[in-house]
Formats: sequence, structure tokens, C-alpha cells
Amino acid sequence: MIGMLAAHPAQAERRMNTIDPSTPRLHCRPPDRVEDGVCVRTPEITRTRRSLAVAASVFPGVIVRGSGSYLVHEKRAAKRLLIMGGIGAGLIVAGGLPVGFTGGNEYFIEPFVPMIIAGSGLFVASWMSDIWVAAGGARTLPEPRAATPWSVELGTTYLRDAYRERAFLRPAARYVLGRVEVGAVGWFDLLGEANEGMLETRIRIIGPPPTGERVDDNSFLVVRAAGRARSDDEDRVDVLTAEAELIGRLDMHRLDRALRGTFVELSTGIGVERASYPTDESDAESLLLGRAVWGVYLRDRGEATMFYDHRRDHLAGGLAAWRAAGFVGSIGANADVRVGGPWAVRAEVELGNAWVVTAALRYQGGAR
Amino acid sequence: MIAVSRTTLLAVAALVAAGGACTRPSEGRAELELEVGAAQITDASVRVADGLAAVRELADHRLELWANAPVLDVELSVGATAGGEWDIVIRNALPDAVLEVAGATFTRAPDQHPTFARFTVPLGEGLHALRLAPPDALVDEPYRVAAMADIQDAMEEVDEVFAAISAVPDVRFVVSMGDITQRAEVEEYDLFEQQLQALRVPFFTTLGNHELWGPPERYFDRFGRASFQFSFKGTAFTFADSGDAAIDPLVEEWIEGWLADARGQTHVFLTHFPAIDPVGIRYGALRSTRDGHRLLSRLTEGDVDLTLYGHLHTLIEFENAGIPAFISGGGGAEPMKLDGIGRHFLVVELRPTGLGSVTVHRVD
Repeated sequence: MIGMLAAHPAQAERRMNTIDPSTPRLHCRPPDRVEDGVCVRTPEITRTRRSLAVAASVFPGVIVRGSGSYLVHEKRAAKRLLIMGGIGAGLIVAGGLPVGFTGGNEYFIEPFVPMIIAGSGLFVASWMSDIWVAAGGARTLPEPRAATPWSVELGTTYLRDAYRERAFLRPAARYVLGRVEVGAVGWFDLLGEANEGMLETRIRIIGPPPTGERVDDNSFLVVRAAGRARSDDEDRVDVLTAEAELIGRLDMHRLDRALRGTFVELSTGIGVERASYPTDESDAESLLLGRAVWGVYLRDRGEATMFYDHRRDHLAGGLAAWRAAGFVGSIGANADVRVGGPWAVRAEVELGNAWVVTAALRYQGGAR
Repeated sequence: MIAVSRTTLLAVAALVAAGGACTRPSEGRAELELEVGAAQITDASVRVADGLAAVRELADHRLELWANAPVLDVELSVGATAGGEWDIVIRNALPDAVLEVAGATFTRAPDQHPTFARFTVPLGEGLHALRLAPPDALVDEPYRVAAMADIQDAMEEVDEVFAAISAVPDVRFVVSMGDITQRAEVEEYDLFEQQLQALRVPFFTTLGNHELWGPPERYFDRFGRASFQFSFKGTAFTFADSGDAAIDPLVEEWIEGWLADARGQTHVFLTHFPAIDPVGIRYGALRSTRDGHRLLSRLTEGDVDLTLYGHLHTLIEFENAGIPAFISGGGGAEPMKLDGIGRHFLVVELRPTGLGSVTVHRVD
């Protein structure tokens, strides 16, 4: 994905430019689409056929990617989803074999575990996208918007795990200057038992400038660096973390126009952590960061995603995955929706070692 | 639209309810441990102090235990019709352990495997306090134990590891950090007990994630608790069940009590999953780093002298929260490649004043 974005950065930048408002917008409702200024009609899909396509996208689509797309006459999308799923499966195997064969030898974690995460992300994203196409998701008129130049957010995060049941006040803010974005997030336990803060910087390598306007392509590639500090009276530990991450998003219409409205996001990174205990002892540890996201744009109002997060040091921790306990991170879903003017709401549920539920209200400023 | 919203809300509510239940997947398992070491029949009942043995059989004039500690205190209540000579069998006992009942010492039946202790004890009606212990149990002095983990699918050859341990002089017993089986099948447990014939000292263990491939009762009924503590000759051993890459709050509560009880003693803490993987990016540890830190803060405040882990089939010596630590998964399970380790076990020297040496013994 990064390769696709990086191969033609100038072209990518042009394609991601905001839509010129002076250009008359062609009335061409999906699944019909505009090609060279002409509205290309696609065959009518009967309700029965669409139902069959959705069923086929689930099974055998779980194994044979593109089954649903094929049945709604999106043969090119079907083929490309099949290839995408194959690449995902290939990465899982290519990453999994060295890790499995060596029994988790430390010298085989990087780059092979990130390969497994990326492969799993592509594998799942190709499946979800097939279901999206089969269900006629493009009819929802997805039109992404670039991020706004700045925002402030106030929310709450509820945490429940075996040891903790906490409600955090969660303020956040971000500001973009050119290609550089700075942000801060805090988690303040309402009972005062634990507090956590994070400062982060993102540098946009590829992607639309933060105008808050509709964009044709919201794909991006950013480098992120962050520092966290956490103090937990109940756990009796203080933790400092530094981390760096490469995050890439690809709007899937780059693969095929029928996939418009969906995107896949992958990230990988590393971190270091210092945990200090009440006996003045401390440990230094390393972290592997990895995230795979599949999402859809909700018209021009925001986006909804589902994700896998490989890190174990965050609130959610790793899933109690029965026989795979200890080897997997957390899963979750997120919706970020503009509700009116500059106001947006965000809701997120994440399940790992803990249930983590976040709800927030955001003011997005500076949009053109 | 409204119908969809209701459906969605119901789905979310169901998900949250299910999630509430699954934040403590090992709660029921921890509660099951409280039943270990007790049994009752019509005219007799038995209770092993702190659940340090599994009651394998309580029948007419017969009691069979599997010891999970070098010293056992047993209360046996004998009813009016159950008085007479009792056949008491204690498996997995120290070779020099004897049985004391009301000030009388009973020696074991001869010509048996060193860890098999059979006693014939006359017991009248009433409550009897039985104590299985070696003569030097209360003498605080240095001694050595072996430590190992992760046998799994190498059960057929684990007798070689046991024979190698038996060849080390003065090892009093083996402590294990779990994963003795691959799939927790009854046949595997049977074979494990057969293979223990190659070991001339008892084998005290907690469970690992592979023991959870079967119902936990299968493990508890045979080998006793997975979370327990015993003290022997000035050293405390605390075992904790981390079989699903977490420690249940009930087990943490026990650990906090045991840490307090072991103050002033040399203290070894054993569990299957490392609290934190020293190779952090591998995440071969408890599934929440925060829970790992939480455990370590308690262990370091409790003055634990040594932490022993398994799960990773290699050998790593490191420190966590200032406590010396070993990951030793050399029981024969598919070994980590390219680390030059292979099958091994540790021999740990324990002194009443603290940790002595820890040496690595390679089997191959």
C-alpha cells in the first residue's frame, strides 16, 4: 500500500486535491459512475441477486474473495479483491512461517510479525470490501473529507477489566501547521487512581492538506512520534513511553472504482517503555506497534472503522484468545461522525483484556 | 430505521453483557481451586491444609493423595464405622518423608518408588491430624531444587530429562512452571505419571495454557491446585495460575496474602507466562502489559527473590522489577530455533538468607 502511495507522490497529491467547487457536479447516482465526464450506467441488480451476492460474499467469500462483487457484475473489483486477499494470505504465511518455525526467536519478530498483521489486515479488508460491494455500499454516496486544521475534543472513556472499572475524562486537541500536526490526549480517572497523557506529532508525507473540505482521495502516509506518561496508584507503577510509527491509508477506489467509499489503513512501529516501581526499581522494555484498519466513509460526514491493534500496553491489552492467549492484541470498532457544522461525535468500542468504550464530542475548527 | 437501531442497540447490549462476563475468564477456575484437597464419604472426610494435595481416593479405610508440596498437614475425620487400619497412600512425596499421627511416626512400606509413600495407620473414631514431612523440614538450611517447564509434545522423551535431574545430587524436588501436556488429554496425564517413574524426587507444578485445552477439573483432580504456596526449610514457593495469560483478581488476592506470609523468608515465585517478556516486541507474556507491571509491583514490594517462568521454549536470564528472573521452557516442547538452547533445566540453590546460585543443566 505504501508502495502504491509512494510510487507517484506528485500524482497522488494531485488526485487528493479537494474537488473544485466550480466544477459542475454530474448527477450520476451510484452504482452508476462518472467516467471521463460521462455517467456510465451499470446493470440493474435485483433484490434477489443482491441478497445472493451478499450471502456469497460471506460464504464462500470468506475463502474466495470477490465472490459477492462478481455476482453484482463488478468482475474487475472481484478479481482485484481476490488478488488483495491472496496477498494478505501470502503475507500471513510469509510472516508466520519464520516466526512459527523459530518458535518466536527474537530476531524473527521484526519484520515478520508486522507482515502477519499487515497480511491479516489486507485479508480481512478484502473480505469486508467484498461484502460492501455486494451490498451496494457505494449507493451511500461516500465522499471523504480531509481533516480540519485543528480540533478540540472532550470525551469520556470507560474501562472495565479484571482489576479495574474506571471512568476517565478524556480531553484531546490537535493542530496542524503545514505538514506537521501536533496533538495531545489525556485520560484522567474520575476517582483519581490513574492518570495518563500523550503528546504526539504527525508528519504528513502524502495526503490531502487539512482543509476540512471534500476530497477525491483521502489516502495518506504519515510518520507519527509520541510520548506517553502514566501513573497508576492502584497498580503501583509509573510508566513512560516513547514510540514511533508509520501509518498509511489507502482509499480502495484506487484498486477499483466499485470499491469507492472503503479504505484500508495499516501501521507499524516500535516503542520503548520505562516502568518504575515503588521500590525504586525500574524496567526498560520494547514495544511492537501494529494496527490494521478497514473502514468506510459515511457520505461526507465521517467514517466508521473496525480495527485490530497489536499493542498490549494500552488500556485494552490483548484478547483472552483461548489457545492463542497472549499472542493477539485487541479488536475494536469506531465511528466518527460530523453531526452539524463544525461539531462531530466519536464513539469507539475496543475489546482486549479489557472493554474500553469511548464517547467524545469534538469541535473541528478552521475548515474552509 | 427504528428497527435497525433497536437491533443494533440489542446487539451492542448483548456484546457488552458478554464482554462483562469475559473480562475474568479464569474466575471460575480460581474458584474451583478452593475445592481441591477436600473430600467426604458417608463415614469419613478429609481436608488437606491449604489444598496442597489432590484427594485421589477416599474410600473404606483408604486414602490416596497426590502431594503438591513437600510437607502436608491433613485432617482425617473417621466415623464410628470407619475406625480401624487405614491404607494411606501419598504419591509425589519426598523420598525421606514420614507420616506422623498423634506423636507416632510411621515409616512407609518398603520396596516402592522413592516418591510413593504407603502407610498402614490404625485410626479410631475421631478427628486425626496427619503430617507428612521429612525429618529436616523445619531446619532452615541451604538446599537445591530443579526447575523446568514446557514438556508438551515431548512427553515420550521427558523421562530423559527426569533421569538427568535425578542424576544431580541433593536435589530435593522439582518445581515446574506448567505446560506439562500438549492437549491436556487423559492419556497424556497417564503417560506423564508413568514418565515420572524416571524421577526420584517429587514434581510440584502449576498449570500452563496447554493444560487448559482440557477441562481444568481434569488437572485439579490429579495434581491439585495451580495457585498455592508452601514453605520448606526457610524458603517459600508461590505458584500462580496464569494459564490464559492473565492472573485472576482472586489469585492476586491470594498472592498478596502469601507475599505477606513469606516475609523474612527466601521467596521464589513461579507462574507460566512471564509478567513481561524481556523481548518486549514478542509479547510472549501476560496479555496486558499493565497487568504484568501490576504483578511485578506486588512481587518487588513483597521482597520476592526469584521469579521463574515458562511458556517460551528457550532460556532467558534477566531481571524484572529488580528481581532475578528466568524463563526456562526446556522440558522438550518444540524448542526455539537458532538460540542454541534446547532441552534443559535449572538447578536453584536456596539459602534461608536468600537466593544462592542458579545453574543451567543441558540435557542434550
